[in-house]
Amino acid sequence: MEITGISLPNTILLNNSEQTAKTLDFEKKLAEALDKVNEKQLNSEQVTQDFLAGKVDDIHQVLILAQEAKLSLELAVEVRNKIVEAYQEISRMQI
Amino acid sequence: MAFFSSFQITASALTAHRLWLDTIVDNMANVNTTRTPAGGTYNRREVVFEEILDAKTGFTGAGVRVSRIIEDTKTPYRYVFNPNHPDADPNTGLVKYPNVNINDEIVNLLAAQRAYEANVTVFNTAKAMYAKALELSR
Repeated sequence: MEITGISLPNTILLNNSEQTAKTLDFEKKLAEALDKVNEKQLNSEQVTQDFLAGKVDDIHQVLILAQEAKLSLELAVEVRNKIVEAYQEISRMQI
Repeated sequence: MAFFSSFQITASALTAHRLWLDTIVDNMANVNTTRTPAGGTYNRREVVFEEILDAKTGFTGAGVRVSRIIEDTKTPYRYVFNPNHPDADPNTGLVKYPNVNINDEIVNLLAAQRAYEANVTVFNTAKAMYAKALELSR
């Protein structure tokens, strides 16, 4: 009876470390994705500035980059909505 | 992001066709040009489109680009008799005008316009598909 009591905390510890590793990985991925979205916004802004300054003469390049930035941002917002939804689902959970 | 590669392919096509448009416009602008920096009559120019291969896979298409602009020296020139013209042949009095045919250029212009429009449609479709994909999470 006492032996099983000792073996239980061991398994819990293992699970915990695995979970933290996964969380960190997810956090990193999320940060990377947000960085990419930010990069697209900055890139779009830069090309727009260049176009207005006369350095870029392809109007479609400007608009396509703007659309890319817009769609990436929308994707980021959708992911954020999902995360918030999941959080609210958990916070509503009965204990 | 791989989804945006279609945007980049469309962008390359739009850039290439804009350059084609510029070439046609240049031909039409120089329809009566008898003097060029290189000397002689203006030769009509044509673009040569080239496929871009994807750098990673090497066999997937990644768009189009204009590989070079060639001078058309095969189409016959237009000779007009005008001895008063400074560039007229002193013996015959004929002026050698460029080998640009306005009608052909107009047809090319329409083709360039339609190709550009088609690529814009492709872009809009790709955009709509992406927007639809975002609706999956709702």
